[in-house]
Amino acid sequence: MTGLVAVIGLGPIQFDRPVWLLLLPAAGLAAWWMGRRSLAGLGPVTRWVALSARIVVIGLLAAAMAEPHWRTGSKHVSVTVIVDASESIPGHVQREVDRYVEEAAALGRDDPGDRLGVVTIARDSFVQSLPSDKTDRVERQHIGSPDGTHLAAGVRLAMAVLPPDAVNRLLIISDGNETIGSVLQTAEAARAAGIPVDVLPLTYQHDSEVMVDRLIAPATARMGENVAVRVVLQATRATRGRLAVFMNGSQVDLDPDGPDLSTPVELKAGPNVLTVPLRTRYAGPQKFEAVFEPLVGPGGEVIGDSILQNNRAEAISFVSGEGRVLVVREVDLEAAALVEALADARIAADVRTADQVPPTLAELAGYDAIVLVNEPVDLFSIRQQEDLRQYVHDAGGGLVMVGGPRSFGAGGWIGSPLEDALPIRLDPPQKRQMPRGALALVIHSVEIPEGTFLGKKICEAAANSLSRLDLIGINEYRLAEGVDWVYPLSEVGDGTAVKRAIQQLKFGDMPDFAPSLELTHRAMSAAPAGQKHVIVISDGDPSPPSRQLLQKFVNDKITISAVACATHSFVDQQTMQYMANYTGGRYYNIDPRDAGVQIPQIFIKEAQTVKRSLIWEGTPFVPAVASAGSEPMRGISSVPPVAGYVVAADREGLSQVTMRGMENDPILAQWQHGLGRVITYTSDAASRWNPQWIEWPAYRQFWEQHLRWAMRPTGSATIRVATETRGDETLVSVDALDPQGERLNFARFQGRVASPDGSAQDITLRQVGPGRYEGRVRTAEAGSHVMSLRYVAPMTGEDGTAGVVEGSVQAAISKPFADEFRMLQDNAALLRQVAELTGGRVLAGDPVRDRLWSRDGLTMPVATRPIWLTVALAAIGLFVIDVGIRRVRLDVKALAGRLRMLVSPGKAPSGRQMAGLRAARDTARQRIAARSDAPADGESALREKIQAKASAKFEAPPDYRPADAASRDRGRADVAARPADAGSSASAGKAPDPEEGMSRLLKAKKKARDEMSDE
Amino acid sequence: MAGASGCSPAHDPDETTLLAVDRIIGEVGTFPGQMSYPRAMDFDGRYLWIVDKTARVQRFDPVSGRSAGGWTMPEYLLGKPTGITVASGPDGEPAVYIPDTHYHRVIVHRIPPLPADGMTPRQAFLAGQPAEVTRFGSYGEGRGQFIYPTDVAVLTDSSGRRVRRVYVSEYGGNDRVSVWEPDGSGGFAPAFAFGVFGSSDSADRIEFNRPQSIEIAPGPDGTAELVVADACNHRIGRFTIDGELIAWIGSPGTAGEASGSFKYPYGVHVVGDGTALVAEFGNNRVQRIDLRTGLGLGSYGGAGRRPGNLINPWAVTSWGSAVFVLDSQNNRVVVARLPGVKSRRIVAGAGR
Repeated sequence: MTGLVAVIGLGPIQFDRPVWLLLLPAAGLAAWWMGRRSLAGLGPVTRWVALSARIVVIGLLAAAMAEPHWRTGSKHVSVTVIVDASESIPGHVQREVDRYVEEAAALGRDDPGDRLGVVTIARDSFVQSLPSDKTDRVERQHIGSPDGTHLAAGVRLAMAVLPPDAVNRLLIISDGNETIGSVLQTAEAARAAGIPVDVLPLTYQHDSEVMVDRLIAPATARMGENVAVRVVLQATRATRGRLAVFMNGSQVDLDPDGPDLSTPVELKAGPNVLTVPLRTRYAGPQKFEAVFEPLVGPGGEVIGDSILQNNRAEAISFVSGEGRVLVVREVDLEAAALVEALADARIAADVRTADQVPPTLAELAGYDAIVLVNEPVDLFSIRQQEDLRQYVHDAGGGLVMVGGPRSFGAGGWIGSPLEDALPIRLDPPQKRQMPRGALALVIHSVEIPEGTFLGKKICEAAANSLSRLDLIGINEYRLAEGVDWVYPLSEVGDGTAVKRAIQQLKFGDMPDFAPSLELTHRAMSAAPAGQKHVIVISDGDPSPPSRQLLQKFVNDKITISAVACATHSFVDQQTMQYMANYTGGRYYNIDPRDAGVQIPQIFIKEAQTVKRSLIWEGTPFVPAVASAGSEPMRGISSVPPVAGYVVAADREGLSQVTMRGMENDPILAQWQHGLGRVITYTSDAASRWNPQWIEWPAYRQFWEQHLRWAMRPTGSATIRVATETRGDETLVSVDALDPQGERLNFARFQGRVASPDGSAQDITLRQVGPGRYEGRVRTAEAGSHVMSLRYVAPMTGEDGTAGVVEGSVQAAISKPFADEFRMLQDNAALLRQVAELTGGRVLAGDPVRDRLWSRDGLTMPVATRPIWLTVALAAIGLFVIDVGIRRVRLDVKALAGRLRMLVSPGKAPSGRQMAGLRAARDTARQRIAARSDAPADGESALREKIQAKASAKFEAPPDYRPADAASRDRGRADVAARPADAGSSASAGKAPDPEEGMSRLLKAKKKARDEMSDE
Repeated sequence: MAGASGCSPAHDPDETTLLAVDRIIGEVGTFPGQMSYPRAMDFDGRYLWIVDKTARVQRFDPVSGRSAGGWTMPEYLLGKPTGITVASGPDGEPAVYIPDTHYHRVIVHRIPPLPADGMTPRQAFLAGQPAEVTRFGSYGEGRGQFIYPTDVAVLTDSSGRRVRRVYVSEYGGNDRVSVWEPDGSGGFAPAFAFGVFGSSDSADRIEFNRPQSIEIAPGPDGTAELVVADACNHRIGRFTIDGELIAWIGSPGTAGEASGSFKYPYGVHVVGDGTALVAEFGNNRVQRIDLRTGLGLGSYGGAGRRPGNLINPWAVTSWGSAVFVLDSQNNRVVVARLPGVKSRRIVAGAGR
C-alpha cells in the first residue's frame, strides 16, 4: 500500500498512508445507501444525525488506518556561523568578520527564540557557542592550530550541534582556501539534510607578498661536490630584501665582503630564481635552508611582505660516502667497548646522547644503522619513536638495540611504536612468573584546552607501556558517584578493557585528595605486586591529604609521583610536591603550554617505575647459541657467560633467535622489517652483565658482523636521484650507472616514501630510457618526505661474468610550509558552489541587506506524533453514540426542565409547570394536525410508511396514549416527547382504554410485518 | 523516585526525591544570561547573584531568568572566585563581597545600577562595571592573610545596615574562619580567627577541611549563629559569633547518603524556621535539616541532567517558598518548591 500515494497533510494532521482515506467516500456512500433504509424509521433529524455519525465513524476509522500524525511546527530560526579562523585570513579581515556577525545578528532578530551558534575552523574545528538565543557575536576562545583550513570538518561539526526544534541555516565565512578535506562532500550531506548553507566569501589579495616557493637541491650528491642550490622566490610586486642560506643549521656567508652573512636581493614581480653554489663536506644528509628577510621600516613595519610564515624553504641532499652508524647512549662506559670494536672494524660511528639524535627522519636516514645502548623510551618523543620505526621499515635503515637495565621492557618500550619493529616481543610470557608491577592513576584535571583528550591519551600511554601481567587501576572523582575506580586495579591483559574504561573518564571536580588516595591505598596495599606506584595528575587545588594517610603509603612502600598541571598558585604546587616528597615519588610542575608534549613522556617514564621486575640477574651462565643460517653469527658457535638480561618473549613470524637465556628467553634475535633489518640483544655491552665478553677474542667479530648485517647496503652503482614537486605530487627521476660507468638497465627498484605524518607509501619506478627510471609519489603534506630506494640489477663484470649489482639510495622531498601560507588569493568560487549545491545564499557582507534571520526559502521543521490510537478511540466512542442516537432519544427541553427541578426543586412554580405541559400538548396537536393535512404524494406516503414501520419496531404507534405518562416520564425522558405524553391523565381530555391500546399495538405490529413481507 | 512531589507526610527522609521544579534559569555558555560552571550564588531579595568559572559576576532576574548586568573580575588568570555574598558594605550601602579565591583576598564592590530599559544583555553587562568599595587580605597564613578564601558572611546590627563583623572562610591548608571588623576608615581590620586544618570534632580544637560556605543567621533559639559547611569533613558546624562551637551536624566518619549525613556539603543556607538547606556536591542533592536535632527532613535532587536532578550543586538559597539551587555541572539554577520551606529570609545586614 505504501507508496501508492505520498504523505499528505491536512492542517496540523499528516497521513502517512493516505490511500486508506479512499475508504471514506466508498464506505461512506455505502453507509448512506444502507442507512436510507435501515434508518428510515427515525425522525428526519435523528436520521441525519445517525447517518452523519456513521459516516464520521467510517471517516475516523479510515483516518486511523491512514496512520495519522499530529504535526508541531517551529517558528524559530537558528543560524550557525562557521568562521574561518585560519592564518590565511589576515587579522584585520578577521576583526571585520566579527563585527559583521555582531551587526548582522542584531538586525532583524525579531523573534526572541531565534538562535545564533558559532563554530571556528582552522586545522581543527571548535564550537565557540552552541546555538542559543543569548549568543550575539563571535567569541573566539580556543581555535587550535591556525596553519590549516578544514572547512569540511567545520560544516560537519556545525551540523552536529544544530537544534532539532528550529529551522537551521549554516553560514560559512571564509576565503574558501581549504587545505584539508573537501567541503563539497560535506555540502552534499547538508543538502541531503535540507540545510541551506549560506556563504560569505572573504575576498582579498595580498598586494605585497614575497614567498620562498621552493629550494631546489640535488637529491643526491658526492662528497666534496659543488652543488648548485636554487632558491625560487615569488613576489607579487618588485621589492627588495635579504636572502640567508643555512647548511646543516649554520648560516652560509653569502656576502663575504660585507659584515652580514645574508645577501641583499632585488626581486622583480613574479618568479625569481637565485642560485647559490655550495660545497658538500660531509657524507650523509645535508640540510639546506633558505630564508627571505623582508626590509623593515623605521617604525618596525615590514615592507613588501604580508605573510612571514612562507619565507622559509628547505631541501636535503644525500651525500654518498662510507657507511655511517649512529650510536646512542647516555653513559660513555656502557658503549665504550662496542664503539671501540666498531672503530677496529672501520665502521664510522657518531656517538651521541638521546637528546642529540637528529630530530627529523630525513637526517636519521643519512645513517646506515642506529645502535641504541641501554636507552629508555622516555628519552625519545613519540614522534622520534615513530621516526625510528619508519627509519627501519620505510627508509631501510638498520637498528641494533642493545640491552641494559633501562632498555627494552624495563625501559618502557612496551607499547612504543618501535616495538613493532623489533624481532622479539617485549612483554614477557605468562610462564615466566616475574614479580609484577602495580600502577594506579589518580586523575583529577588537565586544565588546558583539549585537556580531556590529552588526559585520555596519557592514560593510554601509561597503560600501553605496561606488560600484560602488570596491574593497572585508574580512579577519578565521578560526577554522580564520587570517587570511584574507572578501571579497578587489575591485570592490563590485552589492554582493550582498560582503554575502553579510559574513554569513560569524566575528569570530575575533586574536592579533596584523601578519598582518592584512600581508595588507591586500599587496593594497592593488597595488590600482589613487587613494585607499587601511583601517579596523581591535578591542578593541585583539592584539599591536601593528611600526613597519616601519606604515611600509610610509605609503610606499604607505595610511591606517589605528582604531576601538577595548570596550578592556580604556589599553594597547589606545594600540595602536589608534598605528596611526592613524602612518599618518595617525583614531582613535576607542567607549564600548560608544553603539557601536550611533556605529560605523555612523564606518564610513560613514571609507568616504567613498576617495570624493574622484567630484569633477570643471577649467576652467570653460558647462553645457548643457535647460529645456523644466521649471517651475523657466522663462525660464532659459543659465547661467554652473561650475568643478566631483560626478559622478553619470542615473536611469531620471520624473526630468528640466535641466543637464548634462562627458560628459553630470547637474548639475541634478528629479522628483516620492511626495508630495514633489526637486531636485539637484551643483555648489555658493558661489564654489568657481560664482564667476560670484552675480553672475548671474538668480541669485535661479533659486533662487526651484526652491524654490517644490519647496515643498509650502499652498493657500488652510481645513482643520481632528482625530484620535482608539482602540486601534491612529486616526480622522481633516477639515473643509474654501473661501477664501470655504463648505464644500468633492467634494474628493479623497491622504494618507500615516509611521510611526515608517520604514514608511508610504496613508490614504483619504471625504466623510461637507457639507465633512466621514473616514478610519481604523493607529497601533499608539509615537511620532509624521506624516500628510500633499494635496487638490484643484472651486471656483466669486467671479466665478462654475469652478476648482480645491488644497493640502496636515499633522497628527501621537502615541502617547507603548509599550503595555508601558499594561497595569496581567495577561492570564492568554491564557496559559491557550496551555496548553489545546498540552496543557500551568497551574502554580500552587508549586515542590513544580508538579512541573517530571513525565513525566505526555509522549510520550518515539524515534529510529528502518531495519533492513530486517539482517532480509533474517537471512532469507537462515536460508534457507541451512533447506536445511542438510534436507540435512545433525548428530549432536551425535558432534560432541561428536569435539571431545573433538580437545581431548585421547591422554587418551580406549579403554574409554570402547567404552562409547559400545555405548550407541549399544543405542539403535539399541531404536529398531528399537520400530518393528517399533509398531501398524500408519493414521498410523504413513503415517509409515513417507513415511520409506521419504524414505530412498529421501536415505538408506540402515533395515536398511542400511555396510561400514566407522568410516571413513565420519570423512567424514560424520551417518552415525554411523544405527543400523547404532553398531558397528564387529568389534562388529556379522555382516559385511554388499555384494551384498545393493546389491540392497536398488535394491529400496527401485524401491519408492519405484512408490509415488510410485501417488500 | 516514587512520590516525586515529596509532599507526602510519609516521605522517607533517606530517600532522595526529584526537585519539584518551577523553572530553570541559565544555560551553558559565555554570553550574558549563560553560565559556565557557576560555583557561587546569593540572593539579595530581588535578584540572584552568580559567579562562574569564567570569572563573571552576573545578576539574574529570578522571575524572567534574564541577565540583569554584571561584570568580569579584574583579574582571573590564576583562578576564579568560588564565593559571593550580597550584604551591607562598610559604608552601610548594599555591596557585593567576592572572596577572590585564587588571589587570596576579598573584594567588596558597590552594587551597580540596574540596566536601563531597552539595553541588550551585553550592553547591560558592559555597563555593569561596579566601583570597588574596598579590598582586604593577601596571601599567607598570618593574621589578616588568606589562602584560598571561599565565602564571606556579614554580621550587622539590628538595623541591618551597619556592619559589625565580616567572617571569611579559607582552605588550602589554612582552613579556618577569620573575622574582620570595620576599621573606621571604610575598610576592615582583622580581629581574630578560629580553626585549623584537620577533622577533629573536639569543641576545644576547631578543625576544618575546606569550609566552603558560611552564613550568619538566627539559630533555633533566635540568637545569631555562624553556620559553616565544612565540606571535606562532610559536616555542618554551628558556632557562636565569637567562634565557639555549638554543635557539629554530621561527621567525617558518617559521610554518606543517609538522612542527616552529608557528602561534600558545599553550600548551606539557613531557612529561618530552625531548619537549613544544604547543597551536597557529592550527593548531588539538597537536604533540609533540623539545625537543633541535626536530623534530615528530606533530600531532593539526585544525580542527573533532567529537570529535578542535580549534578555537583555548589550553593542553595531561598526566598519565601522558592528555593534556588545552583546546579553547577548542569550550568543552571533550579527554582523549586520544597515541602515545608517557607523562609523568612534571613539577611544579616544586607540592607535590604
